[in-house]
Amino acid sequence: MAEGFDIVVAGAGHNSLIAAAYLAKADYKCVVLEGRPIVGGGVKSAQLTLRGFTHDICSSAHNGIHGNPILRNDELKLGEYGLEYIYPDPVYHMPFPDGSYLTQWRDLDRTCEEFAKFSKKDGLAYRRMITEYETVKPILNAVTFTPIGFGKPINDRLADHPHGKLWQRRLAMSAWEIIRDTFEDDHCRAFMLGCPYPLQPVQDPMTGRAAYIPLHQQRESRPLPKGGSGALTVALARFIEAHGGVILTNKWVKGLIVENGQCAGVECEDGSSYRAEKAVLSTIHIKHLIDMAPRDLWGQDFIDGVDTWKAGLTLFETNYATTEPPKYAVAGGTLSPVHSGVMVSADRVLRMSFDYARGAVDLEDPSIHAICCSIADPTRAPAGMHTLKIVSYYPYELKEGPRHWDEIKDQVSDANLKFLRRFAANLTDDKILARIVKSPLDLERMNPHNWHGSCHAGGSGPAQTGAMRPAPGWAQHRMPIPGLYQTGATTHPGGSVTGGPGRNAATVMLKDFGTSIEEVVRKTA
Amino acid sequence: MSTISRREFVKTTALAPLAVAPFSMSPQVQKDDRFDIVVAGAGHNSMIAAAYLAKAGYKCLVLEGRPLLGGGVKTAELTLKGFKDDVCSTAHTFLLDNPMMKNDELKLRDYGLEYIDPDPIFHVPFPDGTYLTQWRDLDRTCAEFAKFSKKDAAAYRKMLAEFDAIKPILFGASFTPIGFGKPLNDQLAQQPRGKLWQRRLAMSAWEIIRDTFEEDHCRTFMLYMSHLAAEPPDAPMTGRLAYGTARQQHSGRPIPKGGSGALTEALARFIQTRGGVLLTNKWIKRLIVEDGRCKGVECSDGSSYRAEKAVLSTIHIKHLVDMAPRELWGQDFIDGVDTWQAEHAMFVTHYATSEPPKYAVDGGTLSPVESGILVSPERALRYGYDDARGVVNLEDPSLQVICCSMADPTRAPAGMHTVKVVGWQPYELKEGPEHWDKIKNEVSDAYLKYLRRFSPNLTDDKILACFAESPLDLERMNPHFWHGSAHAGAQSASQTAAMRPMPGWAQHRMPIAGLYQTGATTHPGGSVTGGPGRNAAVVMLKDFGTSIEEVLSKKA
Repeated sequence: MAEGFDIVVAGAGHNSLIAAAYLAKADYKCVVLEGRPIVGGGVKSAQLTLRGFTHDICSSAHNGIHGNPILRNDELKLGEYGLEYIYPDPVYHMPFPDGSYLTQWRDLDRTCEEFAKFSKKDGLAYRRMITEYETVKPILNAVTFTPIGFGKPINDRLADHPHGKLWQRRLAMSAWEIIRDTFEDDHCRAFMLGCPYPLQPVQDPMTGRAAYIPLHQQRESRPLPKGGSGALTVALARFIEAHGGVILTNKWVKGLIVENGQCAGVECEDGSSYRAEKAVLSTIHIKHLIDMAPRDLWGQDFIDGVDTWKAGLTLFETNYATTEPPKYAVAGGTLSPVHSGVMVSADRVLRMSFDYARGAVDLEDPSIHAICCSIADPTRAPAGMHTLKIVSYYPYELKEGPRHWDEIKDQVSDANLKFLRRFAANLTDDKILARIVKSPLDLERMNPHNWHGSCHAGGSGPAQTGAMRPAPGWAQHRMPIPGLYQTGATTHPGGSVTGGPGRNAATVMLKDFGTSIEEVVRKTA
Repeated sequence: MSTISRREFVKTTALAPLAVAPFSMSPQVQKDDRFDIVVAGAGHNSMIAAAYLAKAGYKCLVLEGRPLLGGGVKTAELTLKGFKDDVCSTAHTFLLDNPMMKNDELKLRDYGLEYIDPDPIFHVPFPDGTYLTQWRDLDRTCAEFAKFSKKDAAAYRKMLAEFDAIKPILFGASFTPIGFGKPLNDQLAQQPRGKLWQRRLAMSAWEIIRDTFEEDHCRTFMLYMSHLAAEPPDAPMTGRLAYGTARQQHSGRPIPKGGSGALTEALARFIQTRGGVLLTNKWIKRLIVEDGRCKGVECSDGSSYRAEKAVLSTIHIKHLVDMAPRELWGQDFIDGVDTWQAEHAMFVTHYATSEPPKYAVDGGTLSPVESGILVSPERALRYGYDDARGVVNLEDPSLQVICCSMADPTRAPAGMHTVKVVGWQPYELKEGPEHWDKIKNEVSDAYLKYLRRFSPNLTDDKILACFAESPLDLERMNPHFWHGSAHAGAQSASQTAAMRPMPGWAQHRMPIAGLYQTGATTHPGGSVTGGPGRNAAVVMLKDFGTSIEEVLSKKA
């Protein structure tokens, strides 16, 4: 390729695209190489079932990224590149086996009344909890969107908070301890634990922050990009191209080009190679990245870090094309929310981590997270039709081995639907036009970054967060090979659609290039 | 079983500890006696702190609410006359790494403390008739692993070597007050593979064991030793517990001759020899605070004792906070107390028997001092779940079985034995903790019935008496076992190191000036380490303008 590029980006997920966008805005010439035919990684939409039905392949709601300066301060004006958000109301609906239900509305008073249906005390507890959370939210947010070692450590920041010491403990506690001690009614507890399930064992230490997920979505709901989750990465691609960048698909990166100990570019499966004048930015999973250069170049610490990396909890998904949305019985009729879920009890939620740990698929009262974007976004499906995603929670590592998923995935998918029908009886077979089932193994096949089925690239326990993500000593996006940077869910602040790893990586790279992200953002595009 | 029902036995023996003649006390305190230090509660930690302070020349008064000193390090005749039962702790594995013992700083052997090192160290029989025994001889232990997997035997040897290389740093952190030494991560960062250890310590014990061993029996044995700390072995930040077996390979699981309480008795003698006074049956009712400073304590019998320099408390923070007006503690401290969590509680039954447990092994039977039962890794992975939901699970329960009389004949009449059977159950039941009084005998029976599958000789006719303690009983017996927590509370990420007892107050200095805290609610936490005691002494001596090194350098 004749063109000379400053930056070669290996992989096109929303984080690497965000980093590339900031770098392009800073006038570095970027080429983004994506192995699959469509850019976006876990932030991608496609017609998985039938023509005209646009499904989110992995992520749907974009909560985290709304706290990211990229949107909060509109740093890249992505609206001008076609990004538009919808804020569904109700936020989340959870029906219970006893016929009762709890609905979270964007209106706080209305939500508190929903809790009060079960317990007046819990209604007040929820209100108090959100007040407390919003005093600390800016601190947690700042930590999320600051590269490791760049700002004050979180405990120093909390020291400025009137109840900073209490928050130090809360963050180290388990979500279950906080929820159990805050709420008395089991419906309220189940809702707090699972709206949706945080993909962490809720009784594990250091999951305290997950107890506040419902409050995090109280104000801004669970935002959906109009047209699909992928609208974000499509807008980013447009931005990059508008700033002189090049985006190439079907370019599987095979290896890193290392010369005189410096990462100088990448080689692709198709034999093509791309050289970078300044740096290579990778969003390749560290379990695969490590095989793209000689072992001795990484150093023992990094190799130890990769060897001890754990997948964490995994998802099981089925995408449906339907003629109806789920209809839940509520006082005076039915409700069809964008986001709903079934967690039959706090006890059932607590059992999930036990089942994950022992590699068991438990189809008894499975926990379900259902998403029907077409209710709020008609562009997702033909008129009157709907896209429905049913997410459930099962381990990748089965006792029989992960390959066993290919034998059981259809019956697991059927069991989940059968169970959901107990709450949304209208979803009979005649309403279902098509489906596609994705077991944890399929998720990995679909995208190698979903290593061992992990949509967040790996567990987000204390061993793999903060200064230990992806490995102790290598949490600042700078990799052991000079000229190579890492972004994506294997880096701080980790998985889900936050854009944090992307903007943080850009912050570090721009600093290393002798400028700063503030400077770049300040200059008019 | 004798003709008397177990229920009656529990009734008749409940007062047994009170029946025992208390350890010889110095005469009552005289009106004009003055004390530099008043110590509220006589557990092994507060007594260790008092011993160092007494050695430094400070006049100490130690007040204990119960008739016997020692807290969780106490031995009494709980079942029948002549049978010396360890009321709570038995093995003193960690204490021997405390500089107090390692460097013989207090020469406690001169005060009657003598240790026995049982061999084998630990024995675990499995349901399929196989078993794994840890011997003090490393090669012999590796051979035990090799019975199941040669690879795992090599893995164990490698694991031990790696742990031996790093343990000086880990132990150093336990026996240094928070903020006094270099942070653990900084120390690890300077070590080869130090970054790997940073991650290992943040991982779960299960992750490390699963990745290190391939065979289920070997994994189960390793998990057994890691779950003794009463933390769910699959919880993050329990990685250190994966090394529980390696940790005791060289030093074993030593027991004091005469009973666990021999340690606190030796400490009492030491304190008395240094002019200290120890009084029992002195329940602390409240702290005396004057001009915002803690000046002494008041007891429920109306007596009160003043301290010239400081008051040292080993009262559980959940109770301590009620012993002075709320406003004196400050909101941070009160928040820390309110959010304190109990641990997976112990359920203990003491037996007086005419035989030790006998486990079938090649060529006969084995009767070890310590043995345990855990049927599979999966059973251990269930703890977190059962504990979180507050459910008693008697299906294939894991048990710890301790028969000290095997190695220490002084514990029981000739040919007789003391057997302690320990299980783990939640204190908080769905029906409320009081429900324990209804079910405890049936739980105790279920444990024994289950143990007989592995040690069939323990039939009723071999059992002379028994004394069951539910998690609720443990709390009644000693309020420091808050909600049945033998380690005072969970030793999870939110309640260890700089967060024990709570963020901002981990240096033994309490919010009320002149008041210090020690015991299991302080770093490094519960079990018989003496760490909280020596660490508290380090902080207090520094505040008094000297140092523990200076105190030790002067000859006794």
